[in-house]
Amino acid sequence: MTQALVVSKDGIDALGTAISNPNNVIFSSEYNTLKYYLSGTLALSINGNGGTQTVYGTVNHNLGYKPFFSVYANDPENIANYNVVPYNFSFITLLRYASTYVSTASMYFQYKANYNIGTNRTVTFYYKIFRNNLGL
Amino acid sequence: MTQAIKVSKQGKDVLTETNRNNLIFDSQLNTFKIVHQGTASLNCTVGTNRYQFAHNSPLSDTSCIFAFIEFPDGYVTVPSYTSVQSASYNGSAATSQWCFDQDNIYFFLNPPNNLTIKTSWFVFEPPL
Repeated sequence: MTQALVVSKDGIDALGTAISNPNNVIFSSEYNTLKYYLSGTLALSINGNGGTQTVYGTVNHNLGYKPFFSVYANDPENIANYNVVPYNFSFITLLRYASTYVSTASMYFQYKANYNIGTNRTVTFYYKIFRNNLGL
Repeated sequence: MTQAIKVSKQGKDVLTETNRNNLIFDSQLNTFKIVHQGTASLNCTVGTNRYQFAHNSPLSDTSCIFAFIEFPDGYVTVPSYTSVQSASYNGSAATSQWCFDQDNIYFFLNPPNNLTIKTSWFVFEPPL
């Protein structure tokens, strides 16, 4: 007999066959879940002199493997919203790229833009790194 | 009285805590269950831009899938719709689109030379 810790949804018998559908359970030890590891923000400043620039940032996680991650950003072009990274807001001559990468030790951030406003702009990344190993 | 199983973070009183972010587990809140995880290597050749493989989800419904891609430079990113922001860290290769259906994951890219990319995907329980 397989043993499991199961919390079923309201109205579902945790001892019945309906729990074989994962959508009927709140929690089951049969299924893995994402496990938080590291969360934070990283701000990168880019100047507005009109030239195309790429700015870089790094956060170390030191997990020893490449982890599951999720990243959002407030782009200076769209500061009121949170954008899923990677994204590309480029249009005609406007360049706005944001990317993120992981290695076994670090998370890397890139932001490429060509602001022509004369003042610095800041993009803020919001990252979530999980303990789950990508297996890569 | 409502009954629940809760596990609080260290230093938090599980009997009084109301901030969900201070709970490790709360049986009143659904969890984002991973029902399958897989990895694959794709041998990409110049002139071929569509690559597909089975994601092997055990579910009968199409559900949430998160995918990651590792380029030959060894860095992992999230594939995206347009090529530039989902390029490899060193800029030598890029995906242009990815999508999935009930059976397969599809990657689209135009490799500048023959190369191997690796992918990792997670299938989550909630149906779309």
